[in-house]
Amino acid sequence: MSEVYITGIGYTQVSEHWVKSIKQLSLEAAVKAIKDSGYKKPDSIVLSSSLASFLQHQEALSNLIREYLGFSNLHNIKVEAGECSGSAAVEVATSLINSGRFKNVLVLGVEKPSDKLPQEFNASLSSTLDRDYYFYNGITHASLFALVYKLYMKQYGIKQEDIAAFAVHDHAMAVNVDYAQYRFPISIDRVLSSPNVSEPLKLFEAFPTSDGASALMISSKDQVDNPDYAVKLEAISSASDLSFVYRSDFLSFNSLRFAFEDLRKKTKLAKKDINFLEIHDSYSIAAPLIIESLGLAEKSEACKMLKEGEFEKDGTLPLNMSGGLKARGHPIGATPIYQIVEAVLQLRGKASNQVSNAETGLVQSMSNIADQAYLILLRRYK
Amino acid sequence: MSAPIYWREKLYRYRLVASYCDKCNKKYYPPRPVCLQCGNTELREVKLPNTGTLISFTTVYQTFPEFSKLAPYVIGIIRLDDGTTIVAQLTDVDQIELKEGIRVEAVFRKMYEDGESGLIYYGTKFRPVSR
Ligand SMILES: [Zn+2]
Repeated sequence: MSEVYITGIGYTQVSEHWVKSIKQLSLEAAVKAIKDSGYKKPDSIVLSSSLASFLQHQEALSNLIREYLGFSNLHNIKVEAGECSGSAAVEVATSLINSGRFKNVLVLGVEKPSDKLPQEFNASLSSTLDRDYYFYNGITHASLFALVYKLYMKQYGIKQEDIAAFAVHDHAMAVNVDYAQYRFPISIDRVLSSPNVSEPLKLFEAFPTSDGASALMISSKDQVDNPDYAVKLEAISSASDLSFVYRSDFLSFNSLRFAFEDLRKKTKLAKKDINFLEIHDSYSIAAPLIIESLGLAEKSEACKMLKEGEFEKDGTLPLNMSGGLKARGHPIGATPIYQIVEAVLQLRGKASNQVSNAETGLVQSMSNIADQAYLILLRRYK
Repeated sequence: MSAPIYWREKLYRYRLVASYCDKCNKKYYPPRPVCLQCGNTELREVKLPNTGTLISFTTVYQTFPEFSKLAPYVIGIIRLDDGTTIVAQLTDVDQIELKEGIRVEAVFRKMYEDGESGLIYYGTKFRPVSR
């Protein structure tokens, strides 16, 4: 069991930051996290960015950022695992601390897709799928979710408006979240009348182009000097699944099932112990599939649970209090770290949509259509 | 994409060639060197049937620059007649109302053009079988 704590958080507004560079965004988040940690000096920087080599033509990014942050000599490494890069970075940082090598590690996630045109961003993102097959055949991320969307509706007799309602939920949450990209509510009619991305999937059911940087100071137990602020990284589980083309069941995300089995083995976590859940709902249809694959809803039941208010702040399983990928935004390499930031705010009792008496939160991230997945369990310091 | 990568991948793109694990009776398309169920590395090449049934489809509007001239176009999940499922592009669908369950057949078609190198890339798409 890990004895690693989050002692500081920092983040930028999620937005299209036309005037800020990837370095400036990184600096802003890093400085805030260092300050928030009580000015701990990191022993290492673990950087998460998935697409900088495409979007900014920049490699060796962690060493570049290290220098920009003003550290003339400091251990640093970049971790890349597609859309779950940020979770993988947290995992690496945790291992560096658990091994005894370091006491404080700054995990920094950053992405800046607005440097490119939307089509080019789309092409960059295709690099997280096997380009030899998916790109070559014109198979986009959105098209895979759209295929599954139709199968889900047909299999369970569920209407699009009930699935698209997850985007409405995300927006309703983000209204109160000061760092979220879209702080306005949207109606289901507006979602359903927005243009097609890959039919039936609508533009307002898909994550936007989001720039942002988010940072965590991750520390060993002896470095915790403010128990009211520190949050325990209780467990990290990850798993993977076959590429979409090789699957036999398109409506189950095996990686999530495997990761959750592993997490429950490690922690004896009961479902009722999860006080809130942050999920990687890159597209509206991802939400029910994730929740059902985790076994937190029966097959086909997630949309009903949403309708019945179970995912609201005072429901049985508060979901995406941050606004999720749709409304908080999805700055790819930074996204899982934003999810963890939200969990830390919840566990400190300082979140915008505060879940009362939150003690334990679960953060779920994944790459592509759950080709790889991470679950991170966070607990209030005691 | 460079020409050597293209030539390397050509066989399975031009013809529906899968790799087959006879221990698991499992076919993989696109082909792969190792069976994902049993780890067998002695997979052999088999030709997949050219016809199948459309399981699900989507019309793609937002896509990569290389495919933007083609958009909107259709991507589908197809269950071939031997039971292998593949994900591929559909073509010749302008005059047809697509529905799950219709019969489709493989055809050799242009995928996209590379603006920089001038190469034209070809591959396999599926079209509805005319009655
Ligand atoms: Zn096998």
